Amino acid sequence: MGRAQDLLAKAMTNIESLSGNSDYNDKASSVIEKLNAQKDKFFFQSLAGLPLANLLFKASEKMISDQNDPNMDEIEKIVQQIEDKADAPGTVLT
Amino acid sequence: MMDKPKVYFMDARSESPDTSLINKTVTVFEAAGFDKMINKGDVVAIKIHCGELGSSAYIRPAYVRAIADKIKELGGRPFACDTTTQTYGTWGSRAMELDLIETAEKNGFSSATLGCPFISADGYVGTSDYRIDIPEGYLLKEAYVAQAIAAADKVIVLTHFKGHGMGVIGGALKNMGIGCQSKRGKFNVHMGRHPSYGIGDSTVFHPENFKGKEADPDWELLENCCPLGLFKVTEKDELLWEREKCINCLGCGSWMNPRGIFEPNLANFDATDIAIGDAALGVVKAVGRENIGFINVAVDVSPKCDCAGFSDLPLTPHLGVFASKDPVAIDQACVDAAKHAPGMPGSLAEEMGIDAPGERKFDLGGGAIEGLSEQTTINTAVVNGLGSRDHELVHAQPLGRERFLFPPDPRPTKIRFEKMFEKFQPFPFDKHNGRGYNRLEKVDIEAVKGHDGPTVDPHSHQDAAYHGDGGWHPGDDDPSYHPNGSTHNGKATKKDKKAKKD
Repeated sequence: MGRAQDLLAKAMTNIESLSGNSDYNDKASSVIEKLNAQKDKFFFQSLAGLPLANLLFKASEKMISDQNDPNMDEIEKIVQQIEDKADAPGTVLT
Repeated sequence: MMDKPKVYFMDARSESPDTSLINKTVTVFEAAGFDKMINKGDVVAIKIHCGELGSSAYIRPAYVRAIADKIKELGGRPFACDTTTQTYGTWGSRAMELDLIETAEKNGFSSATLGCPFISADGYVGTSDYRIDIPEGYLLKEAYVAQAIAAADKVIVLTHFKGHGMGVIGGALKNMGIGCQSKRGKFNVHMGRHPSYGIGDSTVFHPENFKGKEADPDWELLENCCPLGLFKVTEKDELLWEREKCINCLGCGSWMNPRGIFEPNLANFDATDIAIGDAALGVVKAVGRENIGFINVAVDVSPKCDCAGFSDLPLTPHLGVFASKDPVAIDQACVDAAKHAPGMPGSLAEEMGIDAPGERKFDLGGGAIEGLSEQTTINTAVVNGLGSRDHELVHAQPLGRERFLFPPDPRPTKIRFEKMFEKFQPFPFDKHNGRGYNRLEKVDIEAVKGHDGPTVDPHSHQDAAYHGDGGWHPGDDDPSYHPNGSTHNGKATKKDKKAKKD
């Protein structure tokens, strides 16, 4: 598993652990569903997805330690960025 | 035992004309002895990367100009050059001579700015070249060197040092191993039709990830990204690829990769990085080791190469300027300097977690895929005998400001301007009792120095007037003001409102 996919997997594990919190269960499930659709893409197989995987991992750690709306919003924002960038042509340059 | 090659270096600090980065570039040129290499009448190629359209970290034309001027001062005949690229990127802006010259001019490289011609070194299409055997090569056994470079008497490889998605670093070796190769030579270096490392041979192909014409509105680009037309979408929405014919132009990657049709191809990337080191040797052999010098300008150390159509925040602060007769030593010196430098806050270095001094900056910050090494090309060039990683870093000293006076007219100010000012006096001595201009005698200077904003009201003194395009004009603050006898515009001002309130 590449570095980006590894970090993404760790972030997803953190986010999945939010399922015990009824305030964020739905949002966490939605985020996991979106990430499942992205995790095997070239974006994460290459280094192109590493910065966002890193950001998502950090945001998920923050959310675990302090479960509140702004931290959940940050996770959703990064996931949106992942969806925007993962399929963009020319993401990986040679 | 042979002496270690010397790498002459000046840092990026600048506090006087002779320590300007441009003049430091000339200083290291001399320190490295390039001035002794160039003889009167020599045709001297200055190999640069003129930048893809949209990139902004490529070497500034002023550096090239300074070196061209220096070569002319030595009696040489300089020309600046770059080469046509492969077709990569679908809309590449340097893929043929016409593109290259247009892009170079848009990026500021022309005879007007450089003081010498800028040319495409490998001709119109990229087939003007010189084939040379390189039996010493680790992987390549021949190289195709751009004609104008192989034909030059002397070559200065003037490189903007930065990261690179495929090469991991973009230094002197890459400026030769890719930049000095013709288009034909670039196919060789990128492993076109290589039985083990070519894209056609080594890429894991997933045609099942093509979702069909209806679900993929850009599907036609999958066919049109290949100059040989090797991709076809059938009536049944199957994606076919005649992979055995692939020449590694890299035109398809940016369309196939995001769709998951290609898997990352570490073997192709690694082999190309090795080939760059071998092809660089081909250039040195074609020109002659005694006829070539290397300058790395390690400023704006962007993560990706100038061949990308953008430039991200640099990975590190400016590192300085380097010069050497050894292309391996100079690249190693730059890699070492980047490693020891802190990462730029907010840059990819920080996002990748490689921002601490001592962290390698390019394996993750430059490379596009996991597992690449910033040392591959350098190590290959050690193995093939091109140069040495081990080197002596010599701090070059400033040459003194006298050396860098404005060359067209180095006379002091009085001699340059006294007579001219007698005829065309720019200072209006005849106005305002000899003071020349209409200005207030005194203002509250401290009132506009506050970091939280000014401590005086806007336009609080009577003569202040903004005549620009904004919403404030003379009289706005003063209801009694009637410019040229016209009536006041009647708009309520802050002063009006304040008066009413009081």
